[in-house]
Amino acid sequence: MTWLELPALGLLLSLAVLAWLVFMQRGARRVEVGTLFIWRKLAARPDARRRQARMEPLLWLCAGALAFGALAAARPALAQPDGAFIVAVYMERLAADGVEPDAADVLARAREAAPEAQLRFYAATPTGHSEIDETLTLLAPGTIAEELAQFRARSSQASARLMFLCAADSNAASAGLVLPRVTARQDGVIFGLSVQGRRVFVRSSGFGAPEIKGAALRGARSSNGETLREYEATAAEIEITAHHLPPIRLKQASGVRIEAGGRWKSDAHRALLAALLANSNYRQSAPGDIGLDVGAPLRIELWRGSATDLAEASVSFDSQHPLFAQLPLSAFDWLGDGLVLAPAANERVLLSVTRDGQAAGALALLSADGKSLRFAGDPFARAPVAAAALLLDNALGVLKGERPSEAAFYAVVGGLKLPSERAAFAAPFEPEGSLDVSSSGAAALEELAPWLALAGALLALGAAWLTR
Amino acid sequence: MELFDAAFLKELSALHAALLRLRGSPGEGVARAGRAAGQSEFRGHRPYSQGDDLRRLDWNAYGRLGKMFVREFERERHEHLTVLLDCSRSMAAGTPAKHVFARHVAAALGFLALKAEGSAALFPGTAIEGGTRVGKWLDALRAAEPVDDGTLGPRLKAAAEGKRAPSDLVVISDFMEPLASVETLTSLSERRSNITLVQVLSPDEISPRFSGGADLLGLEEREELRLTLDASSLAAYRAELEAHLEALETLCARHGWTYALAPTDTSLRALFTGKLALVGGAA
Repeated sequence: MTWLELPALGLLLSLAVLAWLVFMQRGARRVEVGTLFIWRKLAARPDARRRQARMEPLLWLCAGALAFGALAAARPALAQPDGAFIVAVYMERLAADGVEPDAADVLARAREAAPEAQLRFYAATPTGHSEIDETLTLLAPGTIAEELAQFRARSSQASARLMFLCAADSNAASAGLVLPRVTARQDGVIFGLSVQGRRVFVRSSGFGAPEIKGAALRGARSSNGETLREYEATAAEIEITAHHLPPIRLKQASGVRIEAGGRWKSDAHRALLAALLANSNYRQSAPGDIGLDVGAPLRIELWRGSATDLAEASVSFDSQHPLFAQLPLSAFDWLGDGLVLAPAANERVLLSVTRDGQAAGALALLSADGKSLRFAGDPFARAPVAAAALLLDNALGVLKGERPSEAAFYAVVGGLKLPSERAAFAAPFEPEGSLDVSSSGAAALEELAPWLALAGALLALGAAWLTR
Repeated sequence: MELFDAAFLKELSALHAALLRLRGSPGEGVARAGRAAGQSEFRGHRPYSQGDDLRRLDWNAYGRLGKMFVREFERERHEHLTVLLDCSRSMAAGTPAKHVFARHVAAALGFLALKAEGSAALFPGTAIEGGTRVGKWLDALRAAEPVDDGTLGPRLKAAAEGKRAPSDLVVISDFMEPLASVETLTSLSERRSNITLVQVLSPDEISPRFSGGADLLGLEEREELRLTLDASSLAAYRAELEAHLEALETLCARHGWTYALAPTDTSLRALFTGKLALVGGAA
């Protein structure tokens, strides 16, 4: 709001003239007369009395109408106590944990862009900068489009908008001035981290490499400014230090206890178990969480079928089931044992036998509670080791929900909060839009000026009614 | 400032001389009729009409002619003049103040009456007689300053209810009040008093010269009245004033009273050779 509007000044001048007239009215000179006899008759005349009675409200109504008109003409988009205008500042997040590393720099740049303005910040999380957080309006975290939509809606009373974005956005520029969130391209900012077995995969922007302890680099590949690095864990704890991030620590996850028994004792079985223990975080222990042909909460049971003539029989299976994922089925002699299972009503048949077009039984069944996987014979013993290892990996994955070969050896300590990919690739760009306070103020004026003008018009109408 | 300074006294003498030249001395009339001063001079007869004083019926003429005639006399030259001066606060207004002009008029009336061998009384005071007592008359007038309790109405009522009706009563006032108080004088008319009303107004009262916002302080009411005066309201004032003056004049005409409007900027000579030519000693 500014009084430097010609219409406002004009109306204010009118108000001053009116005030002067009122002053003249009130500052009437004192005249001594012999008697008020005739004057009272004059004052008692209906027209004079009406004029007298209505003079005060008429003046007030006129003054009010002029005042409202002046207010409306002064474009009172923002009625600031100190007369300054407000600039709403949106700050896109760089960090994931709410502490923006360069908040002070953003504040300085915002002040430089709008030196006379009161700055009101908007962000999805507190920035950790006390001066910014004092005026911070928290937005619901979401995509950049969602957060900008909230920002626009909640800053409608501001004189202007300033947005610090990680990337140029022409749509956002229509609402105000868009400045780059950073002054230099981000490099080496980790925005993705995953663990598969003993392998740690790190995705980061640019080519900057993080510092890592407890793991050895096995490979790296870059494309489109993104680098994917693969590390092999070499210690029980891994620590990764990267730009804009507190150290990420990974610790070896607690192992799955597995117990072997029953008829799982052949050399082939022991070889399979040894390979499993070597390449996963499984460890042999009794009692186990998983039992191989032995009683345990989760079980793989062998030789549970009944002898059946399986000549001319064929095998069918659900190819989408995880038990058969990437499994070379032809490597297995499913019918060689001559055994089939009789499925119960609530058991799921994973592998079935058909003879003469008739179902002859099941070769593999999953219990209704998903805790027990039963095989009619022993598909592991006679199959090639690689195929048998894949079947065991799949079978354990069916019971545990995650195959041992893919289960992470390591887990992030304290949860993982990484910057978004957009934040990681934040880069400078040419400012877009404008911080035109006057035009933004005009937009706000459209909201208030009509009401003020309406009030002024009503007062003027009242004044006109009094003079009828 | 002296109310009756030497210049004023000289003006009174000049006025007296001028009136003598215009109308002749009362002594001439007395010598011509061969009657003592203060007595009435028979002028003639006129037919009786209802309401005439039966004591003036000429019974001899009735006996001879069979018709009733009333004897008419010349007016007494040496009358007893009573001046009732409005001493209300409203008379203090104007430049010069209305009460100054009113006392000048009263002084002139008394001066002329005393010089004509008559008497003058400032109501409710006693009469002063003799041409050499002019000084006493002026002293009485000097003391008649406007006062807070000098309202005209009660004084008119007192005059009307007095035991002796004055033969000539001159009321000098601005008469800026309801005329009901003036109407109390009708009882004096019934008692054969000749009544003259001299209305003294200042030019500012007749035609106010101010406009715009004004806090009017009524000297008589001691109250303020705030008005915004424009051309229309001033015109309305003049209309109200004229209506009041017309009502007063009509009242006087109805009761046979003499009425004279005397703005304070009027000269005494113009007043006494004009509207007051037939009043008291001036006649």
